[in-house]
Amino acid sequence: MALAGVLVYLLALAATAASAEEKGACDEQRWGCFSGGTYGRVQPSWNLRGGSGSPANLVSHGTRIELPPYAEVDFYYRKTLAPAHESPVTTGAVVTVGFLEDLFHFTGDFEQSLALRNLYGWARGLGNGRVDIWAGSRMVRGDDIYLVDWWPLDNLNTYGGGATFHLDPVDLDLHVGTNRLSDDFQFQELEVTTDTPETASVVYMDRQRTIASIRATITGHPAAGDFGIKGRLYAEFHGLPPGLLLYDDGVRQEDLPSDLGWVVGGQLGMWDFLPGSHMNLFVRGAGGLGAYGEFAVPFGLDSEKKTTRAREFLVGVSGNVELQPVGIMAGAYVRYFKDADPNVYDLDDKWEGIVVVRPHVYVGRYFQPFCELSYQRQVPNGLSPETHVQEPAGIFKFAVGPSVAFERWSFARPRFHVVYQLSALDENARKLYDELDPRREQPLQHYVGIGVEWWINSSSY
Amino acid sequence: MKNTLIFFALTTLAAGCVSTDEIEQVQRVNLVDDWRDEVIYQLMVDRFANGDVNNDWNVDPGHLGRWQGGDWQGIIDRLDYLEELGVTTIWISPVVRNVEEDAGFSGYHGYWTQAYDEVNPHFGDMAKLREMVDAAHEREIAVILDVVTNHVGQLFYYDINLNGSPDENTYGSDGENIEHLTEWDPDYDPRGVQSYTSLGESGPAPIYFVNYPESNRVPPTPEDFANTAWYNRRGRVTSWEEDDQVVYGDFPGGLKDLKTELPEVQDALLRAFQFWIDNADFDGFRVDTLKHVEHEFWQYWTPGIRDHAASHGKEEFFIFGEAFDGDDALIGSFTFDGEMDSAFYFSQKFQAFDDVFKWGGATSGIETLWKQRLVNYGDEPAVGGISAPPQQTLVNFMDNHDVARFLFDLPDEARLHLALAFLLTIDGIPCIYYGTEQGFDGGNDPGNREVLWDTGYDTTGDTFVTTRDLIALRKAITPLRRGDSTVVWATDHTGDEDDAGIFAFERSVDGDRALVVFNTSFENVSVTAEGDDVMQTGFAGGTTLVDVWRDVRGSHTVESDGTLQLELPPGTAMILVEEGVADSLDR
Repeated sequence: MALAGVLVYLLALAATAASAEEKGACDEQRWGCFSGGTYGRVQPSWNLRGGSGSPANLVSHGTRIELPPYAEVDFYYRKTLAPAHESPVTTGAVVTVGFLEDLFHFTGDFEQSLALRNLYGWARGLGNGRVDIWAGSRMVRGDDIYLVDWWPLDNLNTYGGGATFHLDPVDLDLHVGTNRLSDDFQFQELEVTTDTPETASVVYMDRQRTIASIRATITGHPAAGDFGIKGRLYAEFHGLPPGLLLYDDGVRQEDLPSDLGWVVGGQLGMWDFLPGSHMNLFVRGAGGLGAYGEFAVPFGLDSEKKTTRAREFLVGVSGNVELQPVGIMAGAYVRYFKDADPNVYDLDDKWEGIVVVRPHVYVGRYFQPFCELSYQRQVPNGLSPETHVQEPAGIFKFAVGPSVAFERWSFARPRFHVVYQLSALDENARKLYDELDPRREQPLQHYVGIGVEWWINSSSY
Repeated sequence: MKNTLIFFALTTLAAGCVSTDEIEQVQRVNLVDDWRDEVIYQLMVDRFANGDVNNDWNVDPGHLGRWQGGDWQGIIDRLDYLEELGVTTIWISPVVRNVEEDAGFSGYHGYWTQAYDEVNPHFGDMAKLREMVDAAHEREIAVILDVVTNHVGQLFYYDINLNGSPDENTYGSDGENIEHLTEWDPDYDPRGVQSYTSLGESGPAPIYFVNYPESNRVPPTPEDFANTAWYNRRGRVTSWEEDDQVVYGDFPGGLKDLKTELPEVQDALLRAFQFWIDNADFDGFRVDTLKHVEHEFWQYWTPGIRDHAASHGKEEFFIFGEAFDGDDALIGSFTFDGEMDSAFYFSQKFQAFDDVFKWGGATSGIETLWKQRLVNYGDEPAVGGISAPPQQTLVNFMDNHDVARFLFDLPDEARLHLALAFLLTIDGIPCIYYGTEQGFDGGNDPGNREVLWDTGYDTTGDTFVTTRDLIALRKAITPLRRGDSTVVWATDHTGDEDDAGIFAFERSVDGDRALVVFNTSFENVSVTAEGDDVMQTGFAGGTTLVDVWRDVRGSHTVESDGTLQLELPPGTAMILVEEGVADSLDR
């Protein structure tokens, strides 16, 4: 599997390189054009105690600074069917290979965790330019809270197809997809005897989750200039059929019920109210399967093993303002999650929230020192297993460091940086570590990283 | 849409604002004035009801030696069932975290302690435990916790061959002298288990705690219990006849015997169980393996528990113990010197329920046993203990989780119903093992630990109705709960004699009186007389007595000299009260 992934990676790189060489000469109409893109972040780190830096977070989406290495390599193909005055239709394909976690040069293990994050074809401009379609495997995402690396409203990893209808001034995105996780919650494959000494594999349980989403987006420019606003409404539906799980003894079975889920939410955004600035406000509510996300195996089920009573609610905000020579990025969210079991006092049910602010100072052409302040907190509905009282926990962080980028803009990439971060964990936050984890005894945790983040022609969702 | 979102947000916010204040503070109530009024229902948490599917880790349905999925939420969910049955106290299996698995069996029963200070996650968390106790209390059902002080689970091995790893070996090649040796559970050695090398014995075998997180076989907590000097280290009991082995040996299954004679161990065990009184509003403890711990321990530990409970306002905290033995004097020995408030009445289980009600033995054996009670059991309440003396608060039972069920080897529900009538009318505190009311007939452990949910919690079956009705009678007739007990007829006869199988006793308190008569013979119609000798009662001549058990109310008049001759069909009983009392019951 790893070898296959490496091959895909090399092919993608080769194709990207080829497209670069031929870019000037590519004929979109005759042969189509190849191009490439990439997103990546790499950051070796130290904890100043002799080990590697580790994230200190207690919310589901913590600060971005300590994220592990990750990269995407995008491979694009695009073809125009006819001269623009004859037909607006273009078609193409996207392949994105994603790499996660520790690198060979860090572990010495000559293998990498990778996944195809995109593998889909598309056509745009159908219906006199009003309809786009796609099919395949892809990320379907909206806007993020950058500083916590999270897409709080619409963020699906899906395997299906969709269409966008340009109904001026509204864009309407529809999508239907599926997944079938490699977990006995959804899938069970058995080895069975045959009439020879060899065995055969039988898919005993296969229950796909169907996910549909609808998204309506309206954008506008209410004033002269680049100032723009955006409004978005979003909904998801999740459906899971029943299944029958066979126990290891090959005799007993367990009925797994059908289940449903939903998500509704909205977003208000604006940009260029100051040059290079933006802000988004997100509200999202979810229930049933939708409260857990499409890749999660639900936990905290009700007595029928359903997720019906699970709920998620969040309000998030993100944005940046550019006040030369200072640029400020900010992000925050507050989220409530409740699983489906009837327990009132439940550690799985909790409020959590985080506020992060990161100002940069633009000194000269490229030098952009920054600092980051954040506070995150969780308030569980359950009692601590150690003290048997409720233990809200919090972490305050302060980070500072120099960075180099090539535009005077908070989102300028690539950005090289050195960062030192001090995390102050209160007693309850430290108790979230296992008793054997040395960090349990460390109210102050250090993190030093040398890193770079880039995105180059990489907006594949 | 906007309004919908706002509504959703507000309702979710409201739902999310859970105050934990109520569950952080243990709610204290005192339900029990007199434990003789109680009817105990012994339940094994893993088998009673599964209310939360999320803690069903390693559940193996149908394999009774392994987890089945019951939990404390299940108890909460089935309080209606218990209330309908009429029981007033539940005794729950241990709540502490256990070894998960050993030799293919699971720690579902709770007797394999690994952590004295943690709840067993298979059953819920501390909040759920408190919630369960509070919910039971709201129904006026008291809760007794099962505790084990004698041993911990299979947490260490004896390094007999000094190679630093746990070994199991088989020796011998001549086909006759094959010896199996396991360093997990070696045989008892009064010197302490010895190490052995090719050169011979090499002194006491060191013991090593293991660290197998996947089966929770990790050093015990609180961490003081990981002190190897706190264990007797003599190996597994091989003879139950030798007192030293019984007290100092490991319990079979590799359950490691704590050195309870050490003051520091006594203190630690006292704190370990005071912890549970601090953390949930239990109304009493059932103490496991009494006879495997020396009396001096109980004389220290039990008063310490009582005092601690009293400091929380629990003045009637009930502590009764289990000595799995037919020796009545041995069982009773734990009810003196401030040790137990009461004991699990094993000798009666064997000599009355088994010998008489199941196998038709002479009822004179019961009378003899009861007479011994006056000698063998304490006649004064323990200082600081419950208000009634041990002689009047013995916990009566016909079967439990350690013995085959009553119906196992004689599946005759009529006999079970007769035994239930005896259980619920005699002096002491009746204890019903879960599933009895559903006619369970499992054999020895683990066959006697069936899941109750397979019954659908049916409340219409004959045995359920019989049990419910008898409990109701016990509640309604004060002498059946608090009355002094006097045997008015017992016999050696078990054949075709006039009084074969007859057993009768009176319960009286404050001038109220009830007469209970059994014909334990399932072959003969018997009478409460033998020749000219007729049963003498304590009722005045001319008193009309009415049988209040069953719907057909027969009435009988006491002769002028206080005698009463009754005829009972095979395998029947009468619960007789004065006519006026019977009328009040009917109303």
